Amino acid sequence: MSKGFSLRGWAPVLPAALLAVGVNTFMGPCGHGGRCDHAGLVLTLLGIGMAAASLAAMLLGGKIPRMALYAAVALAGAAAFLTPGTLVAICGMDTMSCRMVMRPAAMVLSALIVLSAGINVWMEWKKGK
Amino acid sequence: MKFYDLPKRNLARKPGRTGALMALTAFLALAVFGGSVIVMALRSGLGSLEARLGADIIAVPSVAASKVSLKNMYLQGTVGAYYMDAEKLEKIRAVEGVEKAAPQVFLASLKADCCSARIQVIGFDPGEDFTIQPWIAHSYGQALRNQELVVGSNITSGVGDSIRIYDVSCPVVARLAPTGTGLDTAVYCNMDTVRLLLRAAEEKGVRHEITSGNVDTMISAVYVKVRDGYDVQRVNTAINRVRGVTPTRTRSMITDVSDGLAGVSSAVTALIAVVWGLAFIILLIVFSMMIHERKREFAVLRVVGMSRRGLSRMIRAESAMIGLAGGVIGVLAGCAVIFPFNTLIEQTLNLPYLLPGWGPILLLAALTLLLSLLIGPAASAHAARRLSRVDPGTILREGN
Repeated sequence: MSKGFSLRGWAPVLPAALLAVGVNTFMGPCGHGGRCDHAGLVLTLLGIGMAAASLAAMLLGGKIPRMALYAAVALAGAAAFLTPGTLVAICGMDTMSCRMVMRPAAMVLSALIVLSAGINVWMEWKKGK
Repeated sequence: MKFYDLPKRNLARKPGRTGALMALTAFLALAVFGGSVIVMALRSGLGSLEARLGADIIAVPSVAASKVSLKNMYLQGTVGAYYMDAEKLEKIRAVEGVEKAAPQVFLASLKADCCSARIQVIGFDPGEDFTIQPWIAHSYGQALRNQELVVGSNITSGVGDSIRIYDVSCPVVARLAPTGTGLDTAVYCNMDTVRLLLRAAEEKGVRHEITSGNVDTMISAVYVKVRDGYDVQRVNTAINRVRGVTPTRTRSMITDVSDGLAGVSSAVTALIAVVWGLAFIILLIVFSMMIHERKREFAVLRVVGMSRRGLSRMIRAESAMIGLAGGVIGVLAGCAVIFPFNTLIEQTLNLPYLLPGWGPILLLAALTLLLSLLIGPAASAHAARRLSRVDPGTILREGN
């Protein structure tokens, strides 16, 4: 079984970890128990899940399990992209921290995750063709 | 084999070096594209502020002028509510040189829960107004009826939604285009609506400092248009003699903002120039070292039949590919920072900030890519020229 510790393997891990940590620190919602805090919680859980799944993909051998994990990470990334404001409601003013910082940061990081996980799925599929 | 196959393979052989060079050109492209978009947005915002102010002079109650900054209301959307008796309006109209004087009434809403915010409510008289009406007319061509609201672009409620202010439900009939100023967080209504909301506020126990007059007769500000041929400063001084009123020339507000903008613009331009200067020197050094390191490889290519010109073209193609790829990454990174975080940049700069349209942005992106495409060949030209003049036999015999 071969292990895939490589730059492209780490590519989805880092933004996912940054998403989970960031939403609870410098790019989070206001923290007063409003609906945007629910969005923050969902993003935290998704971030942790995506980081764990990407790490697991690096540790696992086998083309199919890795492809499945990266595909799951890509889907979770898409969910994270849609979470603030679409799947989970956030505050009503553009100048509030959930709209000004959390939402754009989540969108950029989840776009990176979807892109890197998608590339990993393709690279794994190409291997051994 | 196609012409670009060999440069592509050469770059793929050394992923670390290629990646580092691409990162450098990406940083250059980010500096140019991002810095230029910010400067363009600041200029757009200043133009928008000038257009939206509309009036030559804004007169507010003297007691408020010391507590509330009118400039902050326009730049940051700071919520303000202050009042004076409507008789001040008549006194201002009587000042020589005043062509038009239109009243407005301000009201600050409450913050209901953590996910709501205080918003500025601005009531205007459609029959007399000359600052808000022309702007609203772009988005809503009908007269505002009682309780109807027109909202600024940063208010997320859309047409058909309702906003509850002091428990009065007000339907939203239009949403204004962004202005890049604090006016984007305000809502607009007619005088009857704002007076209704003031009464509703008083019923809820929210007291507003109406020191003279009553809800039906007081106003918050008077917007003044000076007649042609009259000096704005003199009219401003004359209005200042009206007791209890402090006038502000809008030109001075715009000049302050313009000075701030000039400072930011100079800083960004200087930063871009320094970054490009340094990066060009770095690229010059790196390409020289790279070409020197590969001279035996180039000598072999010359021996097997590649012409001097072909060798030079190959080197220029490699550096152009690095530049273009780095440029694309830099422009995309710039887009990922500038557009999603637009509101954060606006709030941080504390200046009017209005992103330009897609046309200028696409043109700027294209120019940035062109610069990135050219910087690589420019940096490698000298070293490539020197190498092509050296005898390949001499290079291959070196070290034997």
